[in-house]
Amino acid sequence: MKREHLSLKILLAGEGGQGIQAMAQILQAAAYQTGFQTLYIPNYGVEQRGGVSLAYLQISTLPIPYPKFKTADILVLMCERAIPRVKPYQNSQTQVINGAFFLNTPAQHNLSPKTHNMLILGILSVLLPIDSEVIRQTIKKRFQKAPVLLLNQNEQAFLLGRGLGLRLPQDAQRLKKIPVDDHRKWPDHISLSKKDPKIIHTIIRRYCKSCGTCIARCPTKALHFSKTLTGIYGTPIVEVEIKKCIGCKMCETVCPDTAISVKKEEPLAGSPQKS
Amino acid sequence: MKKGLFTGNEIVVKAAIQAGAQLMFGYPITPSTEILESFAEEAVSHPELRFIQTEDEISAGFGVIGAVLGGKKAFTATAGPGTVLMQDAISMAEAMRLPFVGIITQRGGPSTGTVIYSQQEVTLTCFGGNTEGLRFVYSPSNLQDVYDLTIAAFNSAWQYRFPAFLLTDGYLAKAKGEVRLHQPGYLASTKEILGKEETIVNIRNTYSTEEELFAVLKKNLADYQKIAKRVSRYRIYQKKRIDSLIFAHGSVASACLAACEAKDDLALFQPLTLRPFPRQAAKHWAKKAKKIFIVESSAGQFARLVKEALSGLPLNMIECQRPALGITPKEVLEWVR
Amino acid sequence: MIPKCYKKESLPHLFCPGCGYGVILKSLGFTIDQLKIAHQTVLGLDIGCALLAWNLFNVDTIQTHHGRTIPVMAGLKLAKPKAIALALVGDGGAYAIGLQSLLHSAHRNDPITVIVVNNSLYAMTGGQMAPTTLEGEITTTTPLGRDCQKTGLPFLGPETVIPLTNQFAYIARVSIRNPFVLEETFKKAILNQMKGKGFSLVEVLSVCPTNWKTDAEKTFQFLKEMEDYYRLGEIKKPKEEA
Repeated sequence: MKREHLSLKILLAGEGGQGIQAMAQILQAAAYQTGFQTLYIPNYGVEQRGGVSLAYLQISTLPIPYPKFKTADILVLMCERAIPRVKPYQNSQTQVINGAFFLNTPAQHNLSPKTHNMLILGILSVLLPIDSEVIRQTIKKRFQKAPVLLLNQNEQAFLLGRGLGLRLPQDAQRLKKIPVDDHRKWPDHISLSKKDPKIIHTIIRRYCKSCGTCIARCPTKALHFSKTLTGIYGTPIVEVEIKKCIGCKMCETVCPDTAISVKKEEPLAGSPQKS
Repeated sequence: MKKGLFTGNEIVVKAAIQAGAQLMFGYPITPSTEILESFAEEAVSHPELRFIQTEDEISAGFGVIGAVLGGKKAFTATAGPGTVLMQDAISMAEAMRLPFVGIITQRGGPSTGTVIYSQQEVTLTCFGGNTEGLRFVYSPSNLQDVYDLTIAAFNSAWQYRFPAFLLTDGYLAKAKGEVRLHQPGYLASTKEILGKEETIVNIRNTYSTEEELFAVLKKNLADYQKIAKRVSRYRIYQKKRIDSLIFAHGSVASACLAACEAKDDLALFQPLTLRPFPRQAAKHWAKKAKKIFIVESSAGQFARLVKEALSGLPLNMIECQRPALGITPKEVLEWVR
Repeated sequence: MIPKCYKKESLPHLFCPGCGYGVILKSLGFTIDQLKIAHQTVLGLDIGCALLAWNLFNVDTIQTHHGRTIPVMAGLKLAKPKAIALALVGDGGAYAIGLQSLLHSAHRNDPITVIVVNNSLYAMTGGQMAPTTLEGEITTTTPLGRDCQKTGLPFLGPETVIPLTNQFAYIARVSIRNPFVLEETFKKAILNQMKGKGFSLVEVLSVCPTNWKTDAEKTFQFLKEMEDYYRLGEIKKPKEEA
């Protein structure tokens, strides 16, 4: 079958830890299996998490000489902080998928936040001349060594994303229409105890990276991951069950990101102490 | 004015102290070892001087970096395999615009080679490390030059903030002759970079994207370009007319000078700085000659610099290469016949 | 709960979720606050994850080359004896590429303070074996687990350095499990320099959930394994004045 000439330049942009390279590698494998020429290169700085993470993927019916390109046909944004970095790659023809918009979607469907990248891959797949079943099989192969739950969730996220993508308007979104959620303006998450001793437990949302250290070290198991609020990397922040909190400040002490502050007022001498 | 008989290595130390150097870090390696020993001796009678013998040349280079960051004039001296190790520190000094000063006494290479002499560390001193060669490289041709250009190296390094080197050789290091120890008319002032209590400075040499590094490099390249004319130096020796023009540097230039004195139609263009190379002057004088000879104790390291400087000119060029061998005036004359 | 000498504009910092550096730098920051030395301190950062702290402090900082932080800080201290010279180095920078310099600096009793962060692997480059990798530990260059018969036993840094030091050195090993002990130990190490005694070295047993691929619980379990092998405490203290 003679195929019409196709050349796609896809730029995926986000931060370390978002699984951008996995997305590009899965797509490349699926495109290659479909019979296209492909060339992929990752591009990132020194940080292992956060920082810049870019993936340049080209899919074509002709051989591709050079791994990087100046203008993207499709731009996939995985977080808002990547926007300034990728503005130069966009022109009036570039189709933009704002993955940042869907950061909370996996949680809303009871899927792990780690599946966000597969969800966006699903949306992206709508724009590509690759059979979605081939992509789904590639995802299965990629994560076959992962725990079963995560593998299933990744597949589900991909299919969910594809469904979303099919319902999205086909006309391109423009970067300037995307509202920027300035993390520096996020309010702190404050919990106050209702009884003595008075404890003010503050979580600074924009510092929390969901490492879980405080949860592991809390002596009364008063901390858990939020089902609604996310932190700097789009992952759930920690919340406290203030009733269980004894104000020991273990969480504040062990937090690597200075994201927790615990203030406890000692009860007056003579008044009964509640545990 | 004070004058006397000195070896090249001894006179380096006199010049460095004259230029305001207070700290020297080094690891012994022939033929530069006497520089360390001389400085250590001077430190005995001058308490403001300090000599540190480090465990290797890498540590010596980075010790110099630490010292200049703290605002003190410091230097090191090395040769051959030591010059190779030194590139790690020099790369950092180049990247971060630090006034690093190094004395390189060239010996036979590659590898251990000889401990005696060569002009084979030109590429290394000018362009070693993962760098673009933003350095000042002074090439002395006699003992007086060694004194004068060592002071010039300290001044350029501190005034313009690029690493500076005296690229001498094993012959000049050990030769003994008369040198005049004049007081320098100008000495660049020092400045602390770190440890100043009134300011906070966060310095890096790692960047996350290609674009970030490019911006820094663009600035440094532009600065270097601007400074080039002020720093580059050369000598021209012409007796009567120019049929042939010799390009030579270092002690080979002195041999060529002697050869020129014996002939009427032979001239010498001697760059005193290999970086920045005195291009315009080189082109200007090359145009006057019918033939050009490039003479060096290397297999073309200096010739590469000359050819780059003269590119575009139609030239009749002959390269005279004697890697790791000394060249006498008589041999020069035989060549140019 | 945020050290006064932190640069708040640089938060959240560049370290991974759960990184041991988060705790170490916090403790170091509180120590600098307590000793009131922010303006005299110069913090040298080796290549590795340490370099990510370059803009975290309102304290002079400089990134050096890999394994070269110690000679740079030693040179700086010679030029500026009033400065408080700190070197923050990883297990590679201290015990592999920079070992030569560490040993000789200790041997010379250079009056600097070296903090070695031991997380049992080379984190910034993706988790390769380090001198401090435990026997059987899986890293990207030991996919079947470290074979100590072929690669040597996990490296005991402070113990190796101690025989070269003189009576003025302060050498300790601590764990991030207890940030208060970290602060106290950093304080003693820095005071050793400030009092003009000499060299100090603190190795900190730290964690790397990113390259260990562990959740918070398993991270602290592995830290326990490290604490079982690497002896904690003040291993050498300078003799008191007569």
